[in-house]
Amino acid sequence: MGRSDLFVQVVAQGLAMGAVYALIALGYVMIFKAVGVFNFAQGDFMMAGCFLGLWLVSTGTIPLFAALVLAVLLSAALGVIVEIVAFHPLLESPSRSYLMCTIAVGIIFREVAKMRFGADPLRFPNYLGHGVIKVGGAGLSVQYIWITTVAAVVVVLLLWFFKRTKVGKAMRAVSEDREVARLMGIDTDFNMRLTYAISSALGAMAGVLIAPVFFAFSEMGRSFGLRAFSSFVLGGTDSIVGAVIGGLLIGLMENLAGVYISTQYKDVVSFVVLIAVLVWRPTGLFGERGEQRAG
Amino acid sequence: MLKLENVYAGYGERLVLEGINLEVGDSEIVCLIGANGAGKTTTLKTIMGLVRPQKGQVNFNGDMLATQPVNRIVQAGISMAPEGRRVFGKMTVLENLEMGAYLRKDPIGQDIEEVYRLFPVLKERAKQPARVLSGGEQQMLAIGRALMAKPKLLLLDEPSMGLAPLMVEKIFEIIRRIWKTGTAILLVEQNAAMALEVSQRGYVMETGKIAMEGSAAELRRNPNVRKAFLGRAGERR
Amino acid sequence: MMRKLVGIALCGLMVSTLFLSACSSAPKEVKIGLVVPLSGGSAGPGINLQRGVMLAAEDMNAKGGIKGMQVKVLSEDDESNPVKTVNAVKKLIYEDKAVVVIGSNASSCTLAAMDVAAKAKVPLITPSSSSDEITRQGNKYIFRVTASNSTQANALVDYAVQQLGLKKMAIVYASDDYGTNAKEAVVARLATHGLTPLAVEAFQPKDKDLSSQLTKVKATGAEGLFFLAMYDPCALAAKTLQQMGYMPQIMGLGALTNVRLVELAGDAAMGIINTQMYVPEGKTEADKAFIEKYKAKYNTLPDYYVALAYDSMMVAAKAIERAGSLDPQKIRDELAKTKDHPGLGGNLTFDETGDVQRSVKIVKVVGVNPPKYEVVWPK
Repeated sequence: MGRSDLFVQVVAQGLAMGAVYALIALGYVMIFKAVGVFNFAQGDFMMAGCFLGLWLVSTGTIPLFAALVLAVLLSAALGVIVEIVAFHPLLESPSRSYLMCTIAVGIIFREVAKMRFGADPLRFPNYLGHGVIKVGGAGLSVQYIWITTVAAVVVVLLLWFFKRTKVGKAMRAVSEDREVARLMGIDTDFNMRLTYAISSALGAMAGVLIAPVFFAFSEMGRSFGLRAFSSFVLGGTDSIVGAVIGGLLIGLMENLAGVYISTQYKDVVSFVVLIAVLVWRPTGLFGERGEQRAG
Repeated sequence: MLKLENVYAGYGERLVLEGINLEVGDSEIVCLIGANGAGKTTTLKTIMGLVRPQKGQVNFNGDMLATQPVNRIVQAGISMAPEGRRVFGKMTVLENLEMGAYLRKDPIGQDIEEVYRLFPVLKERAKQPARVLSGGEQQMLAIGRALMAKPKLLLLDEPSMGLAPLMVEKIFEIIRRIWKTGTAILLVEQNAAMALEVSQRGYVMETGKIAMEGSAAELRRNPNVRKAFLGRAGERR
Repeated sequence: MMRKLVGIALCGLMVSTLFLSACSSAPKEVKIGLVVPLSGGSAGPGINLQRGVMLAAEDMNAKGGIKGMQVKVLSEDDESNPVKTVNAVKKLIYEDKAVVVIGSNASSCTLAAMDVAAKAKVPLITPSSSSDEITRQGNKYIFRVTASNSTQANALVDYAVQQLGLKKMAIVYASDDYGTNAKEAVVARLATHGLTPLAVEAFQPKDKDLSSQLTKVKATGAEGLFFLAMYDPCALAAKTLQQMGYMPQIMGLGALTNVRLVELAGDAAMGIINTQMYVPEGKTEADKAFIEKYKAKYNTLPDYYVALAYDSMMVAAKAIERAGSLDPQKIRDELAKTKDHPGLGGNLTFDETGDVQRSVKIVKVVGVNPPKYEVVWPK
């Protein structure tokens, strides 16, 4: 494998990982825009979606793809339930209470997963095949191409949803000013639930996309969620485009640094870049309002 | 059309309205004046359902609004341009207007044109995010947005706040035009002189209670009102 | 009045306690301590180790115990955390009065607990810790039943170079005690064949993404990859390599022959070779009986952890029998004399450092569903 082939390989892998981070980061963005709080359970929603998929597949009665779609839908429902039970009562409380609640929900998710599925990684059915497309000396896996494609389609759909549909526009309105949105007649409670439904569905999608390669394990939300969180901060916390670009950048950086500098420093490099960007632009690459709480 | 009967309301333990009685008739324009903190904005929020009355009734054409959710109140035919304009800054002017019509199922194209006729500047800026508009333009957008709900009663909270005198004149001119199309208006204003000039009737609020009411002309003549609210502006006229 | 009643009650309690303890100590028993990870990420191997020790103890007790004394195993969980191993070994020795301790699994844990055993002059037998460091420290109380990393590395490297004819090698290892030591052992043996690895890449045991390391390996075009870590990361590596369309011969030291490797990696695990101390082949009578009993009880085949733990317990029992005493010092001296003990995976002899002299097998994954292995060395 020549130098340019190596570069292609590294970039392709970086983009695929970045696409996954972007999907999770979009969930962070949605909640942050709606509530003005970091949802630290976002990564665990991804894990939950992944295990829901695994559980549905293991029942053996549902076709694989139907099971995966169902897992994403069930995760959306789970997001709604958690919003109603745990988060909604804290909506008017100080944001630190809300934040703590997201942390608590994450811990509960992980522990339940551990009790039900154990602490060891579990194999996830490989539904994307493992074909490899040769590009020169580099091998681009079909799975990575799928991951990147699905993520791209989801992002485009999401942008369309927010720009063109009435409900999407209403969600933007709620995220800007909840009280005035109510004056427009928008049902903000329904909106909040929809926000959680979409953000946990995004997490679940990321989960079922990467599990065939990285397995399903109860701590997956933390290891992938942390990178996604960096992407979300890098992108600017309230920008959809920012989250996507942030995710791709983090994915690229850690792969490039891992191969061209040292695998020992791959996380260090992405965090140094993250901190440097935040020093230069405290609101992140595409952020508008930084870290204040939404109205 | 609208009748508040002995309304008590507030935030948590803190009672702001202590027995408000207020009426707005069909196609009437009524103003509510008073010092800061008298409870004017809370009165409007109580009508809209953003604040729940602890006691008393809000009667709108026979509908009891006090226990209904905001969207039902909007559907019943009341909308509001809030204090400080509060347009959706990241959304375009057009999207702001669309949000105003959120509950409507019928086509809204013609009403958007109507708003553009009232405020031509909004048409020029239709595709721009609302945050780049000037204060006066944002006020126009806030009023236009409230009109998109096709209200029978329009609540305006401090529409002249922070605007240059010329713009204030313009806004009041438009308020008058809206009223002439048959929409009833309840106007909350600091600028009592202007408010009493456009209104037919007025109420004066003092610490959660209605202290005075009467026709606009009566209130303009009342020495207490003159002293408290009209000041030099009133004497000049 | 109240005080008197309490006094009487206390007296009664004391008398009954005395009586009870006198009763329970009547039949003499041999207390064997066991410390392995029973929860956390390494619980899988730990539970199998525990099963092996228990099975051996049952076998001994069924035959009348050691010189008429029943064997009692006291288990402690160290969660693969060295601090917990140290505490558990202290408890087993000083509170429970174990005469021999078996454990632990991770080399880091065994290394940490060795000094405690030496200080107390109680022998510690590790069934599965393979770091060379363990028997290099001059500790007279440590014994090892699995072959050390260098013994395994020698066998594996020789096989790869001489039998498979591989020349271009790369190493990926976990940066813990086990992985680092295994890497040194492989590098050293490769050097005797005049070979230098083309890439040597480390990863944190907690890493969930190995693509950077493996991309670097792929760039060197290595034909053979020594993957020196546990089976979970190896499954991830095998999958990632499959993603890259690059399939070098993956080779491991001991830690890779676990059904979970195949379960997790699926067909990506095909062809992986690994050194091994035990494969349930049933070639001897003792092995056949062992497999039967294990299957009857757990409804699955025993793996090498079970066998290593079984052998550890049996070696200890034989030493206690020869010592004819429950004095840990005397047991240690007899353990040191262990020679050609017929273990499940071959004969065991302890050298003067406490390390084992034994043969090493090499097994290959030849089937995925169900998982199937084949012993490729010795032929």
